[in-house]
Amino acid sequence: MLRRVVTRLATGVLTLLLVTVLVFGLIQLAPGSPLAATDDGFRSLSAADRAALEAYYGFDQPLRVQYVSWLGRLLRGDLGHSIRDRRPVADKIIERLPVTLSLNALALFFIVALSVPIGAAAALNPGSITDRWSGTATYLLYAIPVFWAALLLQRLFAVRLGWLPLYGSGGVTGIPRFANMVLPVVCLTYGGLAYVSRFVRTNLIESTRLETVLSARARGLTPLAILVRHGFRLAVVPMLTLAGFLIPALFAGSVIVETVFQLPGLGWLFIDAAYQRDIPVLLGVTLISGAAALVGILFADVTYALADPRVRRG
Amino acid sequence: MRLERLAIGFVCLLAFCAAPEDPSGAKTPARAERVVRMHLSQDPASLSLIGKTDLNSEIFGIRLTDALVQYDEKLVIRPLLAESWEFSKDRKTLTFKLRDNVRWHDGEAVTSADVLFTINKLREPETENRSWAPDLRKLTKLEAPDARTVVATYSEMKIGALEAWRTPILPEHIAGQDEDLFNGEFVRHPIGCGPFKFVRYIRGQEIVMEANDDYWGGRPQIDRLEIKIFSDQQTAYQALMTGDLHIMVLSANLWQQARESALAERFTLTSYKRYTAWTLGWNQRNNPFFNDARVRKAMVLALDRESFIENVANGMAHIGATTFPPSSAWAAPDVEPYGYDPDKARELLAAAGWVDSDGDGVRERDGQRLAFTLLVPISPQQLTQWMAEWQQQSWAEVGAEVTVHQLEWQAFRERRKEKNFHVVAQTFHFTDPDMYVLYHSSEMEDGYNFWGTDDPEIDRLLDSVRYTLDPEQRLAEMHRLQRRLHELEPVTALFFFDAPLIYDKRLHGVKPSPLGYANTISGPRDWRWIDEASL
Repeated sequence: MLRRVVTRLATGVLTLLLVTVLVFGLIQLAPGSPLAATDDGFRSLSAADRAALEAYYGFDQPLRVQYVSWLGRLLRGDLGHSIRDRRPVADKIIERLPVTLSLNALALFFIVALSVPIGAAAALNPGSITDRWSGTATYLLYAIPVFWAALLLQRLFAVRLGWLPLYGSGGVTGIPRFANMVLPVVCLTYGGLAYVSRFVRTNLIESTRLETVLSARARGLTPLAILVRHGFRLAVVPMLTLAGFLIPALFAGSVIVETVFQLPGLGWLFIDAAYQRDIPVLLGVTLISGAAALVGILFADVTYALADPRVRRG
Repeated sequence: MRLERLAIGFVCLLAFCAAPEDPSGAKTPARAERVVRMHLSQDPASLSLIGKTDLNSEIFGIRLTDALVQYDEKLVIRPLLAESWEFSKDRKTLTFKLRDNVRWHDGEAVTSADVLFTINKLREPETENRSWAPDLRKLTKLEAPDARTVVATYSEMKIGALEAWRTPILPEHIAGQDEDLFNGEFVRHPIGCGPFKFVRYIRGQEIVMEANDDYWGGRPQIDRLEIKIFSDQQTAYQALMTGDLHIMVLSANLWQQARESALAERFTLTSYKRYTAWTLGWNQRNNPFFNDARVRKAMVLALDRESFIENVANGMAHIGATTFPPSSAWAAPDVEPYGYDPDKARELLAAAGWVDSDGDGVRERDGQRLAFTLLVPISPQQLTQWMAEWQQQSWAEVGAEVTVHQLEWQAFRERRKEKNFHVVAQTFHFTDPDMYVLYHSSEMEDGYNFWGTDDPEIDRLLDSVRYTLDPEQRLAEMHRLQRRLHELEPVTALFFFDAPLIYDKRLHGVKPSPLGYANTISGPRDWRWIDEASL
């Protein structure tokens, strides 16, 4: 078990490094330079200043030297400084972490909390009206673009009714307020329902077709009892894996949600950094979100092993 | 109008008399705090005022601290920290006399040493100052003979030399202590000598400022200024509706929406003229199409700009004859924009040798088809898209095949720098009539002369506009320059769009300038908040 975790961790770290190499390379391929990003109208740097600054930031070095020196600083725990405002990247990430974490944790919770009953209800009677309608409804939700839904929700709940705040995290300290999170969490949740509830349904149906379940039915158990006693137990393994894989997908979704709702989170930071070609910030956010995704997958892996003795031994 | 002003003045006077025990006019519990929330589209790059400056940091800077001089809403340079200035006879030195008794928000006196500190700091390349450093880099010497005098010596001085002295001045006794301008004590809690004091900054959300009771120019009429940051126009507009925002510039479609909205009665809807030219630049180098002025003019004649303004821009734009804004005092009255005349356009194209001999609807010359690309930056404004489509269509009607290349901003800029385009669409904001960088042949490599205009007559006139002292003579040269530009049409100033402005009816004293409603002296400093309900 321990060996499994260690090898998983090692490959994870390696993957992460490869991802940063990829991000670093991709930014270089993108046209424009971080120094030109703040140029605006006639506000721009002279050629001499530009050269001096390129030396200051180390952009005059070959790419591999730039990457290696970034890696060297990383090993000393230094993520470098943002090019946009020269603040330490670590500071910028830490101050934005609470928003993204709470947004994603809440969304993950609601997706699972809503999808499992929906999926179970559908699995209880495959092909029934409940099954078909829940499928149609969740897929319809899935098809609604987030930015559009966000705008409609804002119109209704913030402008027309005035029940919820329109934008922002509401907090002065960086910890978001609950009311500010309601609409963003709704936006991040509804799209995930279809996928997860269908996944739950399929796995439950499959597991209830097994012989153990057949024998349970022969013993006279009601379908609900079978679902609870056997179905869930068997379906929990694939569901855990799915939860692990949901984390990166949610992070991607939170980029849009954070921008629309003006939530100062990592997603927004990432978008801004991409526009600005702010390489240190891009690398920093990639590293953090990549690490989060890896932890999610690792968690899924480990719990998977704990839940299924066959995996544990293998 | 005048009566209304008188009434407002009277009310203010009453308010002042009612609180004689508190001469500073500070918060009296008797009335509600007057808070105004204005829009900013992005976080300032930094609160350091001089480091990595952009438009947003300038808007914050003008509130927090004073510059030596600043534009008023007519774009006339006015004294601020400097009470007077003097140019030497040989136009090499500029001497400022500072206002007496100006204090920083912490009570220390503002002296010439602060000016020296600021300018020297700003000239360091690492400060990355984009707004004023390029001009101030030409200083050869900067001295402070006494606490109220600053003497600047230039290697060469252009007419608009004062413009760069709009740079905000920093307190040396605080900012000078910071080893790192971008991460020191100063950016955490910036202190200035301007009409508003810094209270707090929450990144991505707001910058809160409060009235400076001891401002030398008099305490502002409003108590608190909240600069609200919304990068998304739609969200900002919603915030306006809920009262979380009081003033913003709208896009043309939101403006229409606002006018039809039931909430419109709560707002003042107006617009102001900007010196922002939406241009088409014709690449005149190594280009089979546009090194001929006739082809450039034909393309302009093929565009029905009047109807575009009427149908798409809600009538809120003006046609330019050249890049000199038609609403400015610099515009030559005798230079008329090219009208809509597709027949004349066809004639000109034929005269230039472009004929559709194979009848496929596209003209050709020596086997080369009149097929070119239009480079456009991607913009959140749909207008850019509509404009490109309209141009494509109009030009097709006179026998040109146009491919639109719409690129993300940075990619766009890279292409432009490489001069890899046939026609480039972009906007330019002007603060003064010095258009040297756009057209001078010396600016073809590193400047903004992307189109490669290379005309000795234009070069001479640009020099003369830059260095002629006599205002009348200078204006005459400007007019001559416009006539020449109109003749050659190296760049077409399609439109100057008006800026649709919306603000809460309770807000008074908004005086927009061509630069914006908060980019000059007269901004929040002169605003008044009059809530009828509380009177």
